[in-house]
This record gives sequence, C-alpha cells and structure tokens, in this order.
Amino acid sequence: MEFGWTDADLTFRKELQEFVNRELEEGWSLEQRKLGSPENAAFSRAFAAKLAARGWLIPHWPEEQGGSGNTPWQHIIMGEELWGVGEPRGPQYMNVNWIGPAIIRYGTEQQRAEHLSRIASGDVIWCQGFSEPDAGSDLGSLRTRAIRDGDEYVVNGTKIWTSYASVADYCFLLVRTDPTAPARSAITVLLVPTSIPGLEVRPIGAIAGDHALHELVFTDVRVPVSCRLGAENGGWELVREALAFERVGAPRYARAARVLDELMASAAADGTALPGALRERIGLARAACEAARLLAYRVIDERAAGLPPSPSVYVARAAMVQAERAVGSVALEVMGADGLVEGSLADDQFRRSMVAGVVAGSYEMQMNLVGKLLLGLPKGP
Amino acid sequence: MQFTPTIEQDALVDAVDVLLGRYAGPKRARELGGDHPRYDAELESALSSAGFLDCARDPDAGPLAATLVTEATARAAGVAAIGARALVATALCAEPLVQPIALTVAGHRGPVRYAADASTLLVAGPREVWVVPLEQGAVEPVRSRFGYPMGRLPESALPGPLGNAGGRILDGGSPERMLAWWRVALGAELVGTMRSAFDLVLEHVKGRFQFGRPIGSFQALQHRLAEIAVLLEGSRWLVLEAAWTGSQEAAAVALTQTVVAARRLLLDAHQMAGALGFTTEYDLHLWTMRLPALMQESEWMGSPAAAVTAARWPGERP
Repeated sequence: MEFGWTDADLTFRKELQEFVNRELEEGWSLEQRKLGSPENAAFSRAFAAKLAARGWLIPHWPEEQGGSGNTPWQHIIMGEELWGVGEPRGPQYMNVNWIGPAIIRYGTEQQRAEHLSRIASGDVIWCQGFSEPDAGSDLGSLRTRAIRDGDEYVVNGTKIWTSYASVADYCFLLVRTDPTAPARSAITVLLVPTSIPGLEVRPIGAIAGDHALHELVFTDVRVPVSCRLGAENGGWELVREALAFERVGAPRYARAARVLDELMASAAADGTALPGALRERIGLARAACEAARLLAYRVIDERAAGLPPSPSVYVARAAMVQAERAVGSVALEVMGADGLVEGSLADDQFRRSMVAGVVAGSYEMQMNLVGKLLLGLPKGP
Repeated sequence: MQFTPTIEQDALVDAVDVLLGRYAGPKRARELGGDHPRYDAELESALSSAGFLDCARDPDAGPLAATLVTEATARAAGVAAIGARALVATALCAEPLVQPIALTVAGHRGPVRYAADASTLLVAGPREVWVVPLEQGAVEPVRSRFGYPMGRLPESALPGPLGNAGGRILDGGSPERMLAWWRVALGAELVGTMRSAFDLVLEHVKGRFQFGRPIGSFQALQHRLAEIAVLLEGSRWLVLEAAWTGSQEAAAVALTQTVVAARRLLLDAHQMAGALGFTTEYDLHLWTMRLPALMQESEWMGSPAAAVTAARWPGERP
C-alpha cells in the first residue's frame, strides 16, 4: 500500500498538461465546449488528431493495435487531465475508452480494419444506442428488434436519450435478435453507420445542453450481418464486459475539483469574502471529490493488477456522483447571481451535476449493486 | 499507487489483530465498564512492548503502518490512547514521551479523552506545542457514557500564561504538524470504530426477519447501507493516503469525509438495529457511542471542512 506516482507518470501528466494548455489557449469557445454540439465535434476531431499524432489518443491500447501499451494509470491521468478541462476529445473519449477495445476484443478482421484506424486517428464519432422509451435502468428489457433476413438484419424500434447522435458517424447499437428468448439472452450488438437509410435522428431539447440528447427511430433499417459485433444473442455479456470499467471511464470528480479551484481563484482575485458556512460546504465538496478520486484509483489499481472488475467500480461511481452534486450546488452559491449567466462555471457544473446520477447507469442501480455484491444483502421483494 | 497491502503491512495487521484478540475486543471493553470504561493500561503496554506504537519511526513501516495499528485498535474497541502515542507524539518529537498521552488545544475547556489517566499532555498552542507532565490524580475524571475515560483539566494543568503546570514548549514542535497527525489519528479511530459498528449492523439486517423476510432485503435499508459503505470506504482510503503523504490538506480532507460518514452511520446504525441496538447487552453501543466523542474532538482545532478550504486555497481569505 502506497499512494505515490512513479516518475514516468508524473512526467506524463506534466507533458500532457502543457500540451493541453497550449492547445486550448488557442481557442476553446463556449460553443466548442458544449459536448455533442457541431462545434464541439469539429474541435474534437482536430484535437484528437493532434493527440493521436503524439501517440496520446490510445496510449493504453495494445501495441499491435497502434497503442503504446501504457498502463491503466496513464489512462486515468489522461481522463483526469482532459475531463478536468471539459473534455476536448468531445464524444471521442468513449471510442478510446471502450468502443475501440470492444472491437479489438470481439471484432472481425473486417471490422477492425474498418473502425480501429479511424478511432486511432481521432477522426470518428460514435454514439451508443442503448436506452429506449421503456428500457433505461432495466436495459435488459430493450425491444428494438432485429430480424435476420439473409445477409442482413432488419431493424425496427426506437432508441432515446442518446448523446452525440447528431454528430456521430456510427452507433453502437443494442438490438433484440430473438423475441421469444428471455430478456438478456437475446441481445446483440450492431455497429451501424448513422447515415444508413431508414434511420432518423431527432434532437431532443435538454437542460443538459441543446445537443445532448436524441431520439433514434429505426424503420426497416437493413444492417448487413457483417456489422454484427460478437455472437448473435451474445450482446449482453459483451457490453457488460466492455463497460466494466467505464463507470470510472469519465473521471468526473476531476472536472468538479477543477471547477472548485477555478471558482476559488476568481473569488480570491475579486477579493470576495466568503461566509464561514459556505467555506465549510466548499471544504465538504472538496473532500467528496478527493474520496471519489481515491475510490476511482482503487478500481484502476485492480485493473492494473489484471483483476476482474469488482464491486469497487460501483462504489467509485456512486462517490463520483456525490462529488459532482456537492460541487454543483456549492458552485452556484459561490458565484451567486453571476452563476445564472449561461456558460458560467457554476451554470456548467450545476447542469453536469444534475445528469451525473443518471448517465452511465443510475445512482440507484449503483446502490443496488453495492448492496448486493459488496455488502451481500439479501434479495429484495 | 498500490492499494493492496504489502506482505509486511498484512503481517503487521495480522500480528496486531492477534494481540488485540487477547487484550481487546467487546468482551474486554465490557470488563472495563462498557460505555464508561476505565483506561486499559494493559492493552497499551502490550501494544507498546510489541513495538507497534513505534512503527511510525521505523523507516520500513512509517506512519501508514501506525495508522493501520490505530485503526485496528479502534475496531477492537480498545480503550487506550494509541493514536496520540503512535501517530501524534512520534510525529512531533524524537524522544519518547511518558505514556499515556492525552491531546488538547489551548483554549479548550471541556472534558478531554484519557486526560485523567495520562502521564503526558500535549497542547497545541497558537504558535507552539506544549508538553505538560501530569501527576496521577491531578486531573479530575469526568463521568461520560460516550465510550472513553475522560478528564477535565484544571486551569493549573494548562501551560504558559493559562496555567502553571511546569509544562515546556516542545523544541521544534509545530502546532500545524500536531493538528495534521491528530486529524489522521482521529480519522483512523473513526474509521475503525465505524467499521465494527457497520459490520454488526450488516449482520443484524441479514438475520433479523420481519414480514417473513430479512429486513436487509428492503431497498429502504439497502440504499442507506450502500451509501454508508461508499462514504466509509472513501474515508478509509483518504485517511491512509493522508498518513502516507503527511500533508495538512490531506489530513483535513480525510477527517472531513470521515466525519460525514460517521454522522450518517451513527443514526442509521441505530435505526436499523431497532430496539436491540439500544440495549447494552448488544455490542453496537460499544462502538457507536464513541463516535460523537470523536466527532466532537474533530472540531476542537476548528472545523476540518473549513481547514480543507484554508489549506487548499490559502489565497482566499474569510
């Protein structure tokens, strides 16, 4: 047990910070920062391409797939530094974290050739077609159908609350391939270009941002069987494995901690005296961020040791939600009325904190899993 | 960064646990008086002669090991000033102080844990640390049912202009350093104490049947228990990291989060244990009733949360 960084990790973080500061100084406007906006997508392509050129886009991928074989620690350092500044990789963080690795693991030669080089060069955006109007936390009950017809699947159904869909090139789509089989045993993954005929993408207005959410309607969409990732009806296990570490894939505590730092720096610069009770809540919020950081590190430690995912991931994710919420509400208090200005630090953080407990698996699901898997609590009624 | 204990750390905790199995635990806490126990000089001397209280000085073990010892002692409901000795005193001075050691801050007027039994009092002043030898019987015991022997220091026991006890200023003793290690020690004690209370409550909710099912199967309890587990685990790692870095900010962060966890656990543990939890025949109170005492003490040197803000953003002034 020890809590220090290696020299290599420290150097990596420092070089990355210098690079990010330099790149963002040249321009990183409010529109470019709105995750999923067209401006954000364009910025992400330019930024990710530069990361790729330095070997920093997919450093933790295996070397034979173009990665640098870096450690999971350097992967979380990337996540912290990039999420910390608002994620200039845009939606591409998902490709790098888990979509690419899932294709490496389960993809055919053709799929690897088609997708991996684009992901590795920072030039492709994916969205994940998971949630449906009647399948959110209960993802296993999804109903979008894919009926086999020769060399194609005919897909019909609706995906909803899908992030990044209007700027995405591909959708990592979950479908039901056998309507008679039990819920989770008939789910299949399809890698579908969003330009495919019969797919309609409709934006949904959202308090989290205008480009945040979409509805995807599939009407007789014919998807070649060659687009299927992994086995037919093998999607549930595949996704569970691919997303095992994704609950800590976006180190949201790092952004929350950075927001507190920036708020306090500007309060100090303005000479604003913060009341004692508020300073108390700021300290509590900082402590929550630090707890989330260490709990995420414990997951990384397990990953670095090659251990299978443990309930630690649910603990870490729950702690991240607590941290984001604590900072979101305290940020509005620190900024006061100025926090109501669109794009202000508090505005941004508060909105992030509102969705924190829903995206990437609801907070309540994490609570269920901690109760069941970590605490061994008996099954509920 | 390595979260699994080393072989040495595992061996240390195992050895401490063996000793605690003999000298501490709920049965021993009851023999000592339950929620108003006597000081356990035997336990302190056993831990001391085994060398466990000096592991912070051992370069191969360090303060992280001393924190594990402090945590384990609290888990076993030990009634001895282990954190003050193994973490605070060793961080402040190279020469050993006469144990037991009690801790206070200048200006504190209420009861002090272990003060009636202590041979040495360490006082954090505004700019210096005082070492005050305490005569046996000089400090009046205070009857408290919050799980620790306590004493109220007379004015004459307080050093410097406050009193006249023959205390001395500790050479190079920085009050900031004392507070940092005191916070780590309190964090470790809170974490160990909470762990045992939490384990007991978990066992209870799994075995207590109402409406034909274990009460732990109800989501109304499950989510609360899961939230406590998240807070408790986070606190524990923060305390251990603070012990490893020795930084003031990390110590304040660790204690802040630990007190948040304790506040939650204290009320929920008793709620879930129902009427059984109020009885002294059930062990829960041996741990839970100590939590308010530890939480109180956490505030003597100023709120830990405010200390986080002050340490993290020194440029910003209240």
